Amino acid sequence: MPALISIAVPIYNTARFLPAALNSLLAQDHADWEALLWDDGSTDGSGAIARDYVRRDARFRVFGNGCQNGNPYALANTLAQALGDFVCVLDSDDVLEPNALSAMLQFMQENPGLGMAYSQHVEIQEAGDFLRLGTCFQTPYSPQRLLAEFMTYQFRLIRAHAYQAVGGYDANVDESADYDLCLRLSEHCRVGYLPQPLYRYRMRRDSISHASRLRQVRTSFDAAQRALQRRGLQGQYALSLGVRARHVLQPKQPDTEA
Amino acid sequence: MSNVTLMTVPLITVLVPVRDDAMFLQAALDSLRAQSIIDWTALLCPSGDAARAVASTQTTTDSRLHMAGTKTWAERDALANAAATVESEFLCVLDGDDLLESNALAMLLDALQANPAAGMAYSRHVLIDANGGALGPGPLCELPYSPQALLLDFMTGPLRLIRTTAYREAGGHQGTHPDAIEYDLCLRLSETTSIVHVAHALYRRRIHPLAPEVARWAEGIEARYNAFVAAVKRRGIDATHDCALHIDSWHILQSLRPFGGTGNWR
Repeated sequence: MPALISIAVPIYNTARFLPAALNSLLAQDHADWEALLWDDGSTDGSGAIARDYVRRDARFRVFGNGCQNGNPYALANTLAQALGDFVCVLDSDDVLEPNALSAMLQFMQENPGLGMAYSQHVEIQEAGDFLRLGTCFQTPYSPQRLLAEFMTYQFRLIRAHAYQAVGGYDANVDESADYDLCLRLSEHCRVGYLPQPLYRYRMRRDSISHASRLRQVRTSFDAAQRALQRRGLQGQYALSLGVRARHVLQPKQPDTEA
Repeated sequence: MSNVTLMTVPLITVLVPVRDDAMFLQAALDSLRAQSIIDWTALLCPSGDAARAVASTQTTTDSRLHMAGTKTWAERDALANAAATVESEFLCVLDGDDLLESNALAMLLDALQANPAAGMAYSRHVLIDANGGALGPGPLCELPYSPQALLLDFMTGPLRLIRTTAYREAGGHQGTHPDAIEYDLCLRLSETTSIVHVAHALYRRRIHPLAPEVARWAEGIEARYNAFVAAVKRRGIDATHDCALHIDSWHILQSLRPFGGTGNWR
C-alpha cells in the first residue's frame, strides 16, 4: 500500500496565494496525501477558500477555532490529527513542485535509517516568478552545524514516528518553531539531504514585520541554546549571537495591485 | 593674575550617563581626569537610585563633577534634561561604562576649532570587554561620513564633541526613539550642520552583559530603524523611496577547549 503523507497547511490571511499553494498539492504526482488545513482566524476570505477545497476533494480537511493562535499552535494541532506515515508542512503562501512528495518519499524509502530529509528550495517573487535558488541548504548538514545555521529548510519530510518521538511542534515556541523541531529531530534520528529544488518560497514584502523578525532571531538563538543544554555540550562550547541590521532605501516600485 | 578665569564657564561639558550599579564609573571618570586639557566640567546623569547613589559619592571628591539636577530621570530623558543646563561652548557624552583616551577631548576640540563651520566632530573607537581587554575596532566608524550615508549606517559614534549652539539648533537629545537617542540626534545634526571626522580611535566602548547594545540589542535595532524612517520623511526622500530593514543573524559556536580545539562554526 502506498505511503500516506500528511501535509499541514497553516493559513492566516493569505487569500491571494492560497489557491496556488493548494493547487500545487492537487498537482502532485503522488496521490496518497491528506492536507490538514488550519485557518488561524483569517479575515480576508482565506477560510472560505479552504472550505471550498474541502468540498472539492476529500483529501483536504480544515481545522481552526476562529482565533489567531499563531503558526506553532496551528502546526502542533493539525499534525496531532495526522494519519500519515510521513508528515510535512506547506506554508499557505508557498508552492510545491509537482514531484515534491514523490521525490522525497522515494529518497526516504531508499534510506530507511533517515528520520527526516530536506531538499533545496527556490525563492519566488510575490507574483510567482523565479527569483533565485535558496542558499541555506548550501551549508552541509550535521547535528552540530545545525546549532549554528538552519540549513534544514523546506522542503522537509519527516517520518511520523520520529515526529512523535521528539514531541512534535512545540506550540509555545513562537517564530522559531521549525528550527526548534529540527534541532530536536537532529538529536533523535539521522537527517538526509536531497539536492533537488522541490519547494518555492514566496518572498513577500509584507510577510514578516521587523518585530517578528527580531523575535525570530532571538527565539532561534534561545532554541539553539536549549539544544546545547539538552546535548550536554554547554561545558565544551559557548554559543553567541551575531546580528547585523541594514537600513535600505529603495526606489519606489510602481503599484502593481489593481 | 586675577581669578577671573576661575569664574568662567568651562569650555566643555561632559555628560556622563550612569546606569545600574555603575561598576565602571570610577574608571570612566579617571579617564576624564586624565585628559590633556583641563577646561571641562562633567554632569553625571544617573538613571535609577542605585546609579544616583554611586554617582553622588564621586561628586564629593572632585569639584569638576556635578550631579545633573536633584531628580532621577528615566534614561531616555536624563541627557536632554542635563544638556538643557549646559552653558559651555561644547558638549559631549562619555558613557559611564566607557573610557576616553587621554587626548580625546583635545583632538576633537582641535578639529572643531580648525573647522569653525562644523557643528560636530567624532572619532573612531575600539571595543573592550568588561575587564578592559581589547575586542577589536568599533564597527562602522571607519565608513566615510555623509548625511546620506548616515541614514544607512551609524558611523558617527560613540564619541562626539558638539557645539552647544548646533546641538540646540538640531533639537538636542529627544526621547522619541528611546533606544536610539544618539543616532536620532546625529541624524538631526547632519541635517543642520557639517560634521568632521577625526580618524583616530579616541574612545573605548565597553561591551558587557548589561551594556545597552547587548541587553537591548533588538530594541536598539527597531529604534534606530524608526529614527531612520523619521529622517527620511524629514528630508522628503519618502516621496521617491521606500524604507526597509534587512536583518542578518548567525550563531557562533565556539569551542571552550584549551588552545581552541577544532569546533568553531559560524
